[in-house]
Amino acid sequence: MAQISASQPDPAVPAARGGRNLPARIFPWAVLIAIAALVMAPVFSLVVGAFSLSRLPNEFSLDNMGLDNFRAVWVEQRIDRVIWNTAIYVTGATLFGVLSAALLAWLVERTDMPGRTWIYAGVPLGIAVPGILHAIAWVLLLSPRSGFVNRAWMDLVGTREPLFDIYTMGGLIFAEGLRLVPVAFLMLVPLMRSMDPALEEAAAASGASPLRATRRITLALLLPGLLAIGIFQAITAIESFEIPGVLGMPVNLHVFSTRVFNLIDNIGTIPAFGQANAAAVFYLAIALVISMFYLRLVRHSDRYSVITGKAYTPRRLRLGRWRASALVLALAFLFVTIVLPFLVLLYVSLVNYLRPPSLDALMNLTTRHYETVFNQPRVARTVANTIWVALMTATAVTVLSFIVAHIIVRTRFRGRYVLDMLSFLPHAIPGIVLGLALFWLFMQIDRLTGASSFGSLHALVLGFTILFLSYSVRAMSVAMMQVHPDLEDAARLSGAPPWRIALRVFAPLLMPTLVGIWIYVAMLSVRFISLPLILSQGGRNEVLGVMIWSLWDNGNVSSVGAIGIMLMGVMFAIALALRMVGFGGRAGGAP
Amino acid sequence: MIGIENLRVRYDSDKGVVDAVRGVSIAVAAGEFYTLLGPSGCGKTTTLRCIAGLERPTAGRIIVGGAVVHDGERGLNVPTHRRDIGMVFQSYAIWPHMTVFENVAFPLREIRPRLSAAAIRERVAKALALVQLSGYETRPAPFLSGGQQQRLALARAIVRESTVVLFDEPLSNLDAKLRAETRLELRNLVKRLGMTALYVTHDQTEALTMADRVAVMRDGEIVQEASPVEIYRRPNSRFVASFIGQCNFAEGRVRSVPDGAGPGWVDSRWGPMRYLVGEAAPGRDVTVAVRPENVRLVRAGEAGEHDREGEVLDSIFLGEAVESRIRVGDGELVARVHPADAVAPGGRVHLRIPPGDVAILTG
Ligand SMILES: Nc1ncnc2c1ncn2[C@@H]1O[C@H](COP(=O)(O)OP(=O)(O)OP(=O)(O)O)[C@@H](O)[C@H]1O
Ligand SMILES: [Mg+2]
Repeated sequence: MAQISASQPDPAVPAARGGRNLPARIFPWAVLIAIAALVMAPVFSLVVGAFSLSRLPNEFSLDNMGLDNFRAVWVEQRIDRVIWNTAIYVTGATLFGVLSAALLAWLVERTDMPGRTWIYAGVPLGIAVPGILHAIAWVLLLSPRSGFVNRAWMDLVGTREPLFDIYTMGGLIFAEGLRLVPVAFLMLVPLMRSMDPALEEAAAASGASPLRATRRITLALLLPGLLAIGIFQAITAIESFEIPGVLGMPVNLHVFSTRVFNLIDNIGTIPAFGQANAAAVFYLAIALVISMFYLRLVRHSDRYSVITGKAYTPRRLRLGRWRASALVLALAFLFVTIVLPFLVLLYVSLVNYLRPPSLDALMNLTTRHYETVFNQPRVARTVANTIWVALMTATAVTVLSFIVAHIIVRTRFRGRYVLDMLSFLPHAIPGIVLGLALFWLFMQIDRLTGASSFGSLHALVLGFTILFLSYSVRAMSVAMMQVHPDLEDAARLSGAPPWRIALRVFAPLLMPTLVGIWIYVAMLSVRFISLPLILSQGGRNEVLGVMIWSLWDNGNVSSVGAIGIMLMGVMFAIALALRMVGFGGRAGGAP
Repeated sequence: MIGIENLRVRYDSDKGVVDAVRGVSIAVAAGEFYTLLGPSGCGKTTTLRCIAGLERPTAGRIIVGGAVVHDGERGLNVPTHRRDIGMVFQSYAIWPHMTVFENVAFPLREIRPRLSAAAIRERVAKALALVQLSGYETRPAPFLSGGQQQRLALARAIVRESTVVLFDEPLSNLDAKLRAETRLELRNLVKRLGMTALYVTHDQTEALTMADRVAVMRDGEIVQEASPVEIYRRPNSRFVASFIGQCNFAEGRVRSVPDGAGPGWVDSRWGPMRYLVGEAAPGRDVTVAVRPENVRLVRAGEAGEHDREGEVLDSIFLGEAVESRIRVGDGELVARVHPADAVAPGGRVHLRIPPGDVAILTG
């Protein structure tokens, strides 16, 4: 928008332009300052809080500052162990998740596996299952003593050893790895699709055996992309709270996100706010370093996309007698990540009391738990809260990212690189860390102004907006870059002012993206529990994720099942809507 | 060197069955430059890919360099990398993650027993010199112009010195001028190296200028196979005549066949015409074909007894020639004449069509 005012002086109408020059010039600066405040203020309060030695955040005073928290975290809390655990967990989950996704994407894109269009449609649906429900389903199936699968196994073999204990590092890696698959899959499919098969064929025609052609050409070409996707997923894994929170925390198997949470929310111990901040600073630093590494990598990975032949029909590998096995594998994945959690929760929501599946249990199904859930005023209020937060967040994020992306992509505003960096930054801030940071910020604001922003729904909306901004700004920028500048210039030549160009030309052309981002962000804000877990204070701003967490904490499995089933139903409907508008949510990455 | 016997390819896709190649047989002699010519979708690429082993035929036998590489009946199929071929892809398929040197060295590194590094360097240098890319060795492959990429693809295809080299429309991504220059260069290079070439194109100029022999394909079948001159002068069907160059057609009926005494006669909408070559029996319905550049305009005073009179309807100026639409008898035809000989629309002209340039088509 600044572009119009700054360039191309028009001698014909010198005076008429002056009127809208000033607002058009100030506007981008205002946006820059707003985004900077949005992103930097919480980070600032987090860091300051890490030096605060007061017992509680609202006793914060500049006189009581020091490095004690950092020492305590390093020496007493042995944060080095947590770093080590986190490294194993992130590496394992990323490898497992990305390799599974690569296998699925390869089967769908490059082989003649039967039913591949269905698999292609099915895999991304996994996005709809909230992480906490996944984790809970795994506990119900694979907890060492009472997990349904383990119980069946013990009865069958007559052993006291469980088949697989989900409360282990292996369990964490397995569960989180599976959660990474849908988004990794969506990122990998275009990568595999854009690979010209002639490159492989040229290797064969040069005398390379299929194995060597795959290694020296296909893998070598996919490597930069695979690496970038891997690091992207590693960031997702490092920030994820749901899986380690349910599967690791109960047995004191901590990764960064759970350790930080544990420092302020641990039954029987006094919350160590300052230490939590200090740990969070370490956590944030690591996430930031990985994110910067990711940014550098994607900046340079485009160069391989230079050569593509003209339109080609990709040749699919004939799987021959492996076709059926490939399909079974893909279906098994869909079953394990989508059908199974649904069935498990459905079962516990209908069975009269919690017990392993049996004929007797199935004969005595009841809808009692649904009635209980429906009759609780708390549930109604929580659902209303959740819907409100989702709608507000989605709208705020969509509008904000439209404005920011427009400035970055379409103007010559001097601060646009800074704006770009600032809007990417939240991607590196884990939900728990942002929650903690906002917690400090709101405490100070409330203390100084006497307001009660902490514990309000607005606090959640604000937090989510910051959290999901980077993702949607990037999705929006990509879409905007595909709108040819001529379309805009034509409107400008017709005499339309900038805001009307944005509204009449851009918005309609970008409608699928706008709708897509809106739906996706709404979905994310329902799924995400780490941030509201910290910012939630009593019933006033409790959302569904938080309620499920506390019900699960209290062992109220049947209610978790009933609420989970309804939530999943809604999420699947939203996910289907997302696919209908043709939006992949490709750059998305929250749990 | 290349032999294909009764090759058939059928695609069974979700969208239905496509018979891409239906019973193609060709035999390419050692050192010959053989071209498959045909419109889009006629199965040229499919045939080529079968020879390379990139596609599996439904039936047929393929011989490359004296070895049977595919035999449907015996269930024999030699994989691509064991076939003695080089190939230039339409998209060039230059590996973007390698330098120019590494692209050309790749086929050499696959040779067993391994070649020494010095031998590889030497052969790569030789291949790059042949395509005039010396000095570009360390350049990343994506940083080449279209023409350079094309030559790099060529170098990669010839560096192994395999007996057979396959081309799939290698010039179609170049601009017109570069294409014209490259045609002869490419042919000369292949000839110099003594390789047997199978060249696929839908560009008639390429086929005519480069090939020793041309096979015209249509709907998965070869409709005519002959030398470029032969195929241009004596197309055996309306399809071939109009696919290669421009052509005037008129329905006709044979009156008499050529014999020792003189040319044959055929009645057409243009009036009675003489012809020299054709097997159709008298009384048979045929198509008479005459190429525009074979129609000459003569001045009234010089008109001979067989020249026909006509009226110019309109003309298009093409630069080096003028194309005039002329009404003759009950029909029309297009004549391509030197601008100096052109007659303004509405003018009357005499047409001379040498009997040797009249083709009688039964197909
Ligand atoms: N993998 C495939 N599955 C189904 N049909 C195919 C496949 N590949 C090719 N065909 C069909 O087979 C026919 C021949 O294709 P081919 O690629 O050999 O044509 P072509 O002569 O090379 O054409 P062009 O000049 O456009 O390259 C076409 O009708 C095409 O649609
Ligand atoms: Mg082709």
